[in-house]
Amino acid sequence: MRDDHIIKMLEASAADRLSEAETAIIESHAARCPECERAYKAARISAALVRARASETVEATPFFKTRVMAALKERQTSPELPALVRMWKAAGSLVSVMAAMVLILIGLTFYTYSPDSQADISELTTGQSIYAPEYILFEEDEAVNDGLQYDEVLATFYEAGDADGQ
Amino acid sequence: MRPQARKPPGLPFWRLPSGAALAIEIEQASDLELVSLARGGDEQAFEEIVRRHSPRVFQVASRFFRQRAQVEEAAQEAFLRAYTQLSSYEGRGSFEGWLTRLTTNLCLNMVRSAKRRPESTVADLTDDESEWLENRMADASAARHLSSERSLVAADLAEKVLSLMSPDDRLVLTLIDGDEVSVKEVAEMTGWSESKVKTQAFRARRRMREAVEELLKPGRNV
Repeated sequence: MRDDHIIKMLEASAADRLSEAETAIIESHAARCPECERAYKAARISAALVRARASETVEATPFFKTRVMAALKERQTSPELPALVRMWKAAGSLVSVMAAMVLILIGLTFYTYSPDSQADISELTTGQSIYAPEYILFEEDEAVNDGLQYDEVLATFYEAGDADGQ
Repeated sequence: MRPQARKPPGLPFWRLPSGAALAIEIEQASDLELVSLARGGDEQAFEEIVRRHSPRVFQVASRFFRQRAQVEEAAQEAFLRAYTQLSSYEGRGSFEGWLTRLTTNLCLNMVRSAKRRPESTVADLTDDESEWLENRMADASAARHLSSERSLVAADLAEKVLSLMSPDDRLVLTLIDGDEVSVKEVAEMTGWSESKVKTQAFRARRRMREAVEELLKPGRNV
């Protein structure tokens, strides 16, 4: 049966650097546990692979120093772009998209402009709602309602209300 | 120190150090002196820095890349960055440590931005690699003692398995388990905390072992 203790030991250090005591514990358990035996073998192979890879090191050629100095001179002589140009190169597309969005929003704002919206604005300044009954009765279309007196209208209005209440 | 030798106030020209003498002085200068000179635009001093620290920079870059061209490119970029960032080296730790850290982070970023292999299958293994795995399965204890030819096969196979892992996993494995670098040194190289290095090493070993177990499955004909 898989023993987490064994697995943890295998993960705590490279399998080829386990102490003798640890190796003895692992091997004695692995002898009767196929799952841990497989993990142990894989851990040992992993360790061997890592060592083999680490043993490979590319060494610098005698010309490397010259190459670096040439690259350094090239960078020094190439004209350095101004900060704004560098910034534009890095974020130019993002800024363009943002500018386009702003223009679209401005366009939509003017396209949806209407007298009602103007009235909404004046409502804000006068403090009177254009949707209030009083506004509709007394303010809107004043030319049509000019013949009626305020008290006549109110009397009609409240009479109708009383009739409904009854 | 060399600046005094190069610009001796009041010295007549026949007493100025010759080119050969300057070269010897440069070679004998400490890293801190070289950095100081290179900051002032002294190319010979920087050239000496490159000569002196190339082995270390190549060693670090070799942990990330295997092709000579890639290793050289990474090493060159590391030195060019070092040149532009020399002013940030305050001389508190060793210059080699500073350069190692710069190279490590540069290589990590290069590997992270490179496209990773989507997956590796047994079809990717050569006959030699499959045979190597078979032999190791039969006698895992022989894994430490490999001929140079077998080592190359193992390194090829290692590269395949390691390429499946994250750059961070790969780094801690090759440094700690491959080069036997201490946790503290890896923490200094990467700028990570020691506990992060330990945790990363734990997880990396598990992932590497699981990847190898996958290759060893009976269905893979190994």
